[in-house]
Amino acid sequence: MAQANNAGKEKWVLSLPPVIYLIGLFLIPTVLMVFIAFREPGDYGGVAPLITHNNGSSSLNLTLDGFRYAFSSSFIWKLFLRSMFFSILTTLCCLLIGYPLALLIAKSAKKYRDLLLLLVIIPFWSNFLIRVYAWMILLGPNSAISNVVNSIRHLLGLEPLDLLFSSAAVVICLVYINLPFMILPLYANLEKHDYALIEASRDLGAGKARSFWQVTVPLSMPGILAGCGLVFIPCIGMFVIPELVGNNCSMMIGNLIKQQFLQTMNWPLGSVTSIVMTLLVLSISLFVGFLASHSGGLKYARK
Amino acid sequence: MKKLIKYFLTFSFIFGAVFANETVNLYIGSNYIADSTVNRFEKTYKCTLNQNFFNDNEEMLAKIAAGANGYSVIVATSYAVEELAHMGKIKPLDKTKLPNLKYIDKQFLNTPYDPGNKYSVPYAYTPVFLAYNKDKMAELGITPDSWAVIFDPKYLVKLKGHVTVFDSARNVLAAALLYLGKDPNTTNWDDLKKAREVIDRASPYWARFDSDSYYRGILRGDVWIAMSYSIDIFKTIQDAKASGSKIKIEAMMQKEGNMYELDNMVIPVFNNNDKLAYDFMNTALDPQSAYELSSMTGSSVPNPDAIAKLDKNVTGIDWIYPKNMKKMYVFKAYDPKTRIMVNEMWTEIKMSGNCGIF
Repeated sequence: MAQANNAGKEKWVLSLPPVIYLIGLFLIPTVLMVFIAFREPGDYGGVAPLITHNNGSSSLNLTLDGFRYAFSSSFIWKLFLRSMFFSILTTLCCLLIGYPLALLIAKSAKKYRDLLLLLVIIPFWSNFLIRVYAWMILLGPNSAISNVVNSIRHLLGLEPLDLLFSSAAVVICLVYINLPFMILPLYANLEKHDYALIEASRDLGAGKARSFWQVTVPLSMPGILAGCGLVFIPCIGMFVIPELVGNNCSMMIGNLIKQQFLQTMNWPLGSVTSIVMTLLVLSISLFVGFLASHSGGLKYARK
Repeated sequence: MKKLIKYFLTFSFIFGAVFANETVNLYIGSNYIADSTVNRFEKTYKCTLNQNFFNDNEEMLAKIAAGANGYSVIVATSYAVEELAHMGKIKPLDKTKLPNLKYIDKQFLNTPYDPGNKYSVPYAYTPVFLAYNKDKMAELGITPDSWAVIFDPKYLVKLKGHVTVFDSARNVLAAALLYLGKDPNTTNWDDLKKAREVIDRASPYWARFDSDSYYRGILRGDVWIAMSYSIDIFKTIQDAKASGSKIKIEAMMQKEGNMYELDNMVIPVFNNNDKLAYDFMNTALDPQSAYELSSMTGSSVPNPDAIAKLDKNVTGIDWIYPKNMKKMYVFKAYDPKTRIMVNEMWTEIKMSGNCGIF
């Protein structure tokens, strides 16, 4: 009995730091954000006083204006749709590039695996911003990439294209920055696969392709879902990359939120947009979770 | 790049603050004070000068409004001074402690945004105009002597995708209002709506909203005409010469008039070492410092003694030292309601563009 009690205490002590972290850096800011969403904007950022006294009568300054504005202006929804599109595209590209690579690393000889994994992680050693700036040089109008793309377009009789400051540049940078977050969970999953299962499927007459699609892919579903989540969720709130390499047709919802706090100084509208975004991401995660728990592969993988 | 430098300086600021005895923390746009001036100030007053950079006045105002402190002197543009004063974030100045104010040209004192210079003293100014690729304009037969070049589709059809304007509500609106022959500081909503129509009609032809790297685009050759700051173009022309670039960059003022950003030094209320702040202001008002600033960055200085020392090649440039100051306007602050509405409008202009979803 005493032992069980102790284990309970230990659990509690161990979970204290993450709980404090979540309360301080997630729960409190989220609650604040919800409160701010219903307030009137202050003259210079912040919010207007909750209660104003005017000739003896007090009035409560709560409003739904932020929500009304957000739901009535089409451009906010356009930004949401665009952010969704960029994020889905990025996630798909990361999956298409990341899966074969993760499989290759998982299947290579043990002595090379750490080295290969290290090569995936190395870009993390330099700052995220520096890596985006590097892409600005790589995509610039006089870069080799631009020259190749534009000489192909020239052969096809098409107008030359600016790669930098375009939606394409935004997606390229998003894919590049997020790729390791797809590869690492996929590798962690693929590395644990029992090769005997593949052999069994081959013995039963399945070709290489069939045993890949019917054994390896379903078994790696947890890795795929984890990777997609890790890529999709940070993508949708991104604002630095569109700002650095995008044009005014590639702004995302994160740019709008940043704009509301740093330029417009309309905190309530910024909060409303953040809340809508949070709810959106949450509902997508729940939907994907629901799909996952009903997909066959995951059941096998869990067993 | 600016951001990287900013992070680096934040670091050096933290370490600097630990080791120095007396410090002046300057909050200023990047590359806006000569190193020689900094060195002279530090030596004379045996202190350390830390520079903290901001990208634009809105960012600075948002941070100060949200409670950022620790700065001794802020170098803020005209309307930002007015807003800082409204917020109660800056102190009235004691002119008896500013003997070097005598060097400043009277036409830059007693400004509409700070009557009687209660809170601010002028530092330097930066005209806003159109800079362009000389050969391209000659080829297309366009003379950018009017704002029509970036607003009228008649010109824009030839320039599609090669025009940039600032990522700044105030500057783009002011240019559109000047083009329409209206007061660039108007708060009349009908006029502002008309300006918006002009911008909405023109923006599909613009490449992007860019106040940070447009000059690199001019130098690369993909931007043919850009709303520009004098300091950026001054530097870009030097860079073009140094790198042997074939691109000839020129600039001119527009006949409808131009804005200029008059930057001012103010002391925030939270500063607790006024003596050193005044010492810094006197140093910056000194003709030597103004001379160093203008010759290094191409900033225009409101300091006749400094101008007299400057190279005629600089003072002769109309877009650095405008001959007709009557056609030059400064920004006045909007009332909070107009500011929020204009900024909301700007966000819509900027983010919706005329470019569909993707």
